[in-house]
Amino acid sequence: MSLVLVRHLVMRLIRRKRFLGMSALASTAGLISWISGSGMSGPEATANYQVVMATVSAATLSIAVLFMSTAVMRDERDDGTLPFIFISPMSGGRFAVSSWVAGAAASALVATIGWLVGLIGLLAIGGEMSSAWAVLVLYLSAALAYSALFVPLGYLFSRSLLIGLGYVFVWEAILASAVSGLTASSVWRIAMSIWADIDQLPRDALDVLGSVEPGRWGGLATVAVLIVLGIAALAWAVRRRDAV
Amino acid sequence: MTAEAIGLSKWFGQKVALSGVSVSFGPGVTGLLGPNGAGKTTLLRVLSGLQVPSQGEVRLLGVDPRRDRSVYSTVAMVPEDEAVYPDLSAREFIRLRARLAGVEDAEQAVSDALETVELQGSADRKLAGFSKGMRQRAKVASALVSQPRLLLLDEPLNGADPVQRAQLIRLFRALGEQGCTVIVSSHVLSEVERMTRQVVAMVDGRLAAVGDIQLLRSAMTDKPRHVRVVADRPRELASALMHAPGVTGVRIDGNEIDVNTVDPIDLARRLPSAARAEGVRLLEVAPADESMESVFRYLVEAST
Repeated sequence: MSLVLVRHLVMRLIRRKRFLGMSALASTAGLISWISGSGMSGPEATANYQVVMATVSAATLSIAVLFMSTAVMRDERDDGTLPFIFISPMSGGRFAVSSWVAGAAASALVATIGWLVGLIGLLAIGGEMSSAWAVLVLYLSAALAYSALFVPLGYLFSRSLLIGLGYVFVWEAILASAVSGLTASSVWRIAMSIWADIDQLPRDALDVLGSVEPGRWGGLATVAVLIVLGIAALAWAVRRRDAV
Repeated sequence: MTAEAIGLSKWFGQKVALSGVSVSFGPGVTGLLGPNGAGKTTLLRVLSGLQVPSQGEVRLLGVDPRRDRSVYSTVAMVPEDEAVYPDLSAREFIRLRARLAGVEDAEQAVSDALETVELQGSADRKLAGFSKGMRQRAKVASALVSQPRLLLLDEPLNGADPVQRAQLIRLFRALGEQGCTVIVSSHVLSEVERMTRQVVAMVDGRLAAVGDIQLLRSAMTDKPRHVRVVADRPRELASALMHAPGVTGVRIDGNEIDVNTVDPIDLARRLPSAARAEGVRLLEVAPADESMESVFRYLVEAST
């Protein structure tokens, strides 16, 4: 991994207005749970927080990560600056790892901001702090896994956002919900399987999992596999596909 | 050879951008010439590894840059796009390139590169506030910071003012003399002529000619040349010239006559006497195509 490249890419991502917009988007679930949980008792507020995190974040966090992660390479390409980083003596694998780390770091930052808003809301309405920690695990594992998918997408396709939105809204939200055989292909449900194993979730939140079983180690292993596959795909693309 | 294209083709869907290009580049400056859409930028992109050839091979210092990216420690490119990182200062931008290229004493190398392009005074200003010419110089400095053996420059003089152009031309010539392989694409032919005599001309994605500009010109001695004549009574002079030996065509535009001749020396000899005989006052006589532009135009016409 090249720390110089990672730092450059992350700074580039967080300097843009998009970062503020995506942080706001990632915070919407926290705000919704805060507003909708007002007036509830502590356990009720916690359950409400968990349900909102499981359902609303499935769309808001995944879209925020989509915009941040696809932008890692797409911004460089669209701005015509990709040659400055591409023509450097680092292997395709190292280039790919650095790009993914940058996308994952920026996405994790956005996810953490979203989580912090949720945390403040949860504490304000008297919810349980332990649930918030578990949601941080959900947010971070989702950010890492989604970025493994979306960083290569940003390099490979000029319409990466459209493809990514198709994945989130058509594949994950409709097909993976309707067809039980496809449920395990949902990145959100993979991240949720980790969360569901480390926290006690209400039925409405567990329903989102569908046929995916809760399990922290299985979920983490799947996330790790996704990351390896994403980096391998990007390394392949760096060697085989046009950079500009 | 520092850079080699072997049977290189590149197509984008139905559009053929490069077709069977085989050419080698050695130390010194080589001008890459051609009209818009000739394939110059695509050739530079494929040579640099930014684009993958649809057919054929690229060798930079003996290796395929897509397979062995370590070669990029001695290769640098200045892309055509005006783009730079607007949030970075010139120094930060060049430092980024130095660090990515693994330059050992990066700070010293950055200072040297800034000095080479005479940007020390603006080194800590954001690139967003730079003029087009200053951005070009910053890009050139970012390419020079790793002291490359192969420098690919895509229209590097775009946006530079005449003084900056002269400085950059001197710089590229000096790099070539020091043994660096410098490939410069440009559509400003007079500037290429000031940098080098060695040219590669491209038309429609194919090589039109490779070699010394002098050889190219002598190879086309049988081609007609254009001479622009300005006279107070152009019609009378034009009709007199139409029958002169070697003249293959005459076109009148206002008080200008465009004379097409295969023997410009004979035309120069006959013109004053023809004007005297017709009572015409000659106001100006000048070769219309006595530059690299003429070579280039003939090559384009010959291949279409």
